[in-house]
Parts: sequence; structure tokens; C-alpha cells
Amino acid sequence: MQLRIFEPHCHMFSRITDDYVAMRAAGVRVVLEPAFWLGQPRTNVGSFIDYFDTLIGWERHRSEQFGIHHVCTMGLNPREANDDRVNDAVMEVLPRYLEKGSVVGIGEIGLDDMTAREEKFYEAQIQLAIAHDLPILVHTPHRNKKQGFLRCLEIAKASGIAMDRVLLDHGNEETVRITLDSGAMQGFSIYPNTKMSPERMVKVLQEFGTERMIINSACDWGVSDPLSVPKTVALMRQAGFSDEAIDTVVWKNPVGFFARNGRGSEEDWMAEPRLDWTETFDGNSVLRGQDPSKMAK
Amino acid sequence: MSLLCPTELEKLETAHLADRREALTDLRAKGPAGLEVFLAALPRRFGRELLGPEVLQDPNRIDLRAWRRCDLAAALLLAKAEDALLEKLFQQGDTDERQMVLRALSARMIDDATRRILEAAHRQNDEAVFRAAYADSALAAMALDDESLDRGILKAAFLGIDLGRLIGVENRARPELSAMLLDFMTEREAAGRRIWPGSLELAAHAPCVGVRSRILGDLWHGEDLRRYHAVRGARIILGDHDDEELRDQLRLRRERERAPFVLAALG
Ligand SMILES: [Zn+2]
Repeated sequence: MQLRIFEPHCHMFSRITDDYVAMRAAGVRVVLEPAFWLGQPRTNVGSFIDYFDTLIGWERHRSEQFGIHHVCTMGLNPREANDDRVNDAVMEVLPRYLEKGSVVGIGEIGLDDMTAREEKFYEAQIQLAIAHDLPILVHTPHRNKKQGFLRCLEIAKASGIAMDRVLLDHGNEETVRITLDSGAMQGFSIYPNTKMSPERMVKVLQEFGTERMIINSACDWGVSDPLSVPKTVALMRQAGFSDEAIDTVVWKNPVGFFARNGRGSEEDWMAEPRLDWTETFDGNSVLRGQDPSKMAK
Repeated sequence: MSLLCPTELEKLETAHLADRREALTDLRAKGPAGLEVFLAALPRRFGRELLGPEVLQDPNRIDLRAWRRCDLAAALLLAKAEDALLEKLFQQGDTDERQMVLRALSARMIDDATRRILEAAHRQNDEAVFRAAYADSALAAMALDDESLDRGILKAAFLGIDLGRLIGVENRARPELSAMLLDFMTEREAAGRRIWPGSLELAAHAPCVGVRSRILGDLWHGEDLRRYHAVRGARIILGDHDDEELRDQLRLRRERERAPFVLAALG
């Protein structure tokens, strides 16, 4: 069985084309890029609009040129939910992104410092998700993990959204049982050194099984590895997981969660995206003047 | 005037979207603000399938074989929309939405907004968006001034879009454009890259220095498409005035030609 990976959380905006090449070679067919912060606060809504437009435009185009489908989730992230220069204005522009063809969810939303503002905008965005029939990708706090996780879950439950449309991300050994009991999907971000490593991840899968489990690299401009999903798959193989079990975790679970109502499907995503080196976008070819006819396909 | 008249639009709706009347009514009721959100949903609600091979095609006006069901839905919804809304939808749109807005322009009066949106589409290099603006409709040839249209044609040449799909551009041929096309040929040849096969046929409508000689040469080119357009170019020149050498070369070519579509062009 051919390895096929839906990588459900990576910030390709901050990665280079070599990463796309390596990911494709390692079996990645779809990347999902959740809207998040950019490492420092944005000062006005225009910066969000340009970023959102990049996610549905240039970054999608860039990804497709390397044979990888690009989808995204849109949202006001919890950190900047605290910033009154942008929070309300972002909420105002958000609806017009939620019907775009490559938008498959709302995220990353959730809690970071667990402030009242974060909770308010998290709740409001869950209501938007219900209105647009979208799933939510929930960022859970990296500090005070368990308490924050429980609060994210509590708010989601009270909101009326179906729990099978909730993906609680950045989970660990402490949160997995809570999530599975809630009916939500459990996401794990696998990082090279700290937090959840590939080795720890395999142990979690051995203990809790593959149902409703989703793994991702959460790669961005920080210390992170866009290949941490395929690396975890290699360890799963060594640990005796079957091809089917692997396919469940890295393909069926995320595809089943995000592909609904014509917003992508297994069939769409198994087909090659527009693989055409002569394509350019907004006047910027990624080939930078190299002759497309001489590029190896 | 508009390229598609209201009666034609009505017929198209009946022929292709009769099963989606409710969805259309629902979207019409949402108004302009609704379209800012829901235009993007048209491909999912109406489908991306082409209208099919039997649909309206007029070689001097428009070829609807390039249209998808969602393009027709957009044309119906936007036929009477304000210019400002159209420009906004184009700016804010993703690749599908931009294509739909561009196709909808053929259902509207040609005006300044048409020109501005076509020029905005030119600045994108997403080929699908560019095609929706410049190919399969006489819109660009009718709406743009010389300078903008020349730029569009050169870009179409760069992208390798078939000349046959650039409807109406032959009526806008000028020696200045022909000179640019020849320069572009030379530039590509110097770089060892493929030239746009349609160059000489289009240039033949308004020849500049070098066009005739280039055509004579291309009648003997190894690439079928180059010969095809050279033949058509030669016949365009001969339609304007007699030219014994061109006539002779066409005859010699006819005796040796093997490619059926080039033979057909030779007549
Ligand atoms: Zn993230």
C-alpha cells in the first residue's frame, strides 16, 4: 500500500520550496495550513487580509507546483484575539473567506493565555463554524496544558457544535483520554526535541489506538520539522503497525474530518494538483527565470 | 453593448441550470453583500463541469465551451450588478471566483469597469485567470485600448495560448504589434526557447518589416504548428495583394505537406 499523507497542520508560509520537495517525496499529498500569528503582533486588519489572501492564493499555487494540494483554515488566533487593534476587524472580514474553495475549517482558534477576550472570540468563531458548516481546529495552550485543554473543550461543548467537528490540537499523554471521551478528534504536534517526539507519539498510539487520532508537524519558522509525520510513520512501521493502521492515522482520519460538503474529497486529493512548471502567479514564477521545459518533472 | 444578450442568458439558464433554480433564487435574495461571501461557493453549488461541446460558439464573439456551470451561474447573478461590486469581487476572489467574475463580464455592458478588471487580470499570472480574461471571448479585443491589448497579446504569446482562442484580435492587428511579436520571436530564439506559433499569422494582418520573409521561412519549418500558422499568414497576405513568390511557395509546400491540418489550411 502506497503511503499517502494528509499533513493537517503546517505553516508553509514560513517554509522554503525544498520543504515541499522533501514532503512530496515522503508521501505528503495534501497540506493544511491553519491561519495563525506571524511571530509578532500585526498592527492592523490589512495585514490579516493580505495574509489570508496569501493562504488562498500564492501559497496554494506554490504548493500545487510541487505536487501537493494546499488547503487552509481561517481564523483569528487566540494570541491576537487579545489585541483590540485587530480583533473586531478580523471578525468582520472573516465570513467572506469561509466559503472559499480551499478553506476547509476555522482555525487555529482556541485559548493561549486563557483570557476573557480569548474566550469571547473563540466562542464567536465556533458560531461562525456552525453557520458555515465547517469543522474547527483548536489550538490549546502550551503552558498549563491540561487546564487550558479542559476549558477549550468545555466551551466547545457548550457552543452546540457537533463534537465530531472539533479537532483539539497540540495534545499529549495527559489530554488524550479526555479528548477521546469527549467525541472530539485528537491532534498531536510532533516536534524534533521538545514536547511530543516521534518516539513518544508511537507509544501514545500503541496505548490508545488509532481511532480519531491525527498527527502533524505544526512546522513554522521555529524549531520544527516538516517531515515529522513521515518520520513518525517510519517508527510506527518498526513498532509493527500495519499499513492500514498507518493509513488511518495519516490519511483517513484527517481526510474524513476535513473533506465534507464538497470542500475537497479523497478523490480530489488523490489526483495530481495542477502540476505545470510553466504556471506563474501574480507575475512571480517560483522558477525565477529557469527554463520550465528544462526542469525535471 | 454586451457580448451575451439577456435572451441568450435566459436560454442558457433553461438549458443548463434548470435543476438549480432554487439555488439561484436563494443567491439572488442574498443581494450584493451575500455575493461577497457566497460567490466562492458557486463551484460547489453549481459544479465545475463544462457546459459541454454543444453550447454557443461564435468565432467572432464568444466560445462558451470554455465555461463551467458555475461560470454561467455567476454570469446570471452578476449580469446587472454594480461595477463597484464586480471589481470588489474580483479583488477579493480566489482563482475560481476571479475566473467567474471575468466570464460574467461577457454578460454585461462593456465599460470602464470591464477594462479595469481585464487589466487587473493581466497583472495576475495565474494562467486560468488570464485565460478567462483574454481567451474564448472578444471582450479584450473590444474593451481594451491598443497599449493594454498589445500587452495582453504578448502575455498570451508568453503563456502559449492558441491564437485561435484569442477572439477578435486580428481586427486589432497593427504594425507596431507585429514588430513586438517579431522581436519576441527573436528573443525566444536567441534563448533557445520555443516561439509562439501564432505570431506570424497575427502579424500577417498588419505586416511590418520581416513578416513576409519570416513566413516564407516558416512554410518550411519542422514544427507542424509553425507551418500551419505560416500558411494561414501567407494566405492572409495574398488576400490583400498578389505575391508571386508566396503563391509559388504555397504550391510547393502543398506538394510536400503531410500533416492533415496543415494540408487543410493550404486549401
Ligand atoms: Zn500552528
